[in-house]
Amino acid sequence: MENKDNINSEIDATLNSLDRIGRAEVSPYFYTRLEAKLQQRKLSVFDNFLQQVLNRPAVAVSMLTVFLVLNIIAIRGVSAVSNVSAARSSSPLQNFATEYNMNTASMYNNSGR
Amino acid sequence: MVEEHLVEALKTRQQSAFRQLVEQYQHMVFNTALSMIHNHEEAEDIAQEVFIQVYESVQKFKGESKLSTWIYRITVTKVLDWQRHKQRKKRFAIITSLFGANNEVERDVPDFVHPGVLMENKERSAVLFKALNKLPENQRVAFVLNKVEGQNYQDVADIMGVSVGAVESYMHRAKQNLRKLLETYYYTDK
Repeated sequence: MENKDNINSEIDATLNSLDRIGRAEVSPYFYTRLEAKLQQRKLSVFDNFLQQVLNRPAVAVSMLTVFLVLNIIAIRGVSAVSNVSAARSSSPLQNFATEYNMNTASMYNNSGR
Repeated sequence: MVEEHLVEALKTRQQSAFRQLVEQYQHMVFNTALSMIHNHEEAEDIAQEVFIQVYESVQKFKGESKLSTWIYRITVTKVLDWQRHKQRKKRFAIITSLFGANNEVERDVPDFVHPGVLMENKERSAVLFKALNKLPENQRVAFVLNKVEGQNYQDVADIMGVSVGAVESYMHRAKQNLRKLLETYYYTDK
């Protein structure tokens, strides 16, 4: 009987053992570690996103198409410019005159009078 | 900083606001996680996950509850998810070890002594925390929030998303179950 009372009081004491419990505290470097983890997470999220997007066949094909179209436009642009310069270079005397401003009738015409 | 201003600053991704939030709530989150997990490193990992979740989903916080309630809710969810994951891993390891795979079964944590417990209560509290681990989730969460974190029944109800009556019932059953477990411990184990 006495033993049972002892055990009951032990149980009560155990149930009350959390009275006036204080808070456990994190280590002083918690914020630094958290910041590093957050930074790492941001980078990996971006990497995962890129990987997921590029892995889709539709995205890959359309990106390839855009790349090809841009290349074709660039090549056409370059050839058009070279055609124009070729046309210009057909009259070298004219070019020379333009470059040295020799088209004016007299040097006095440049004075604005 | 007032709570609403802090939330607004967090929503605009101000680093100083995030730092203030962490400084304000880090011990609360860590203490809750530690009281349920009984392992310092894992509790700190979970606390980090909680703040990352807060940072990522603060836009969804509408201010319908207190900020602390919302953070408590995230903490409890993370802890329970972690415990379920660990339980699954443990079961899987037991099964694979039966088939001869080289998976070591994780052992239970030895007696956990909460750093905030008074010196004269350390031994008894270790017994109590061990018994606490055998309670169903709802009873365990309600007990830790009320007895360790000192939250009143209304706040516990808000955190758990249940009525105050339900919390009273969880607490009543938790105490009953703990008494039974402790009886077994003191009559047989000791």
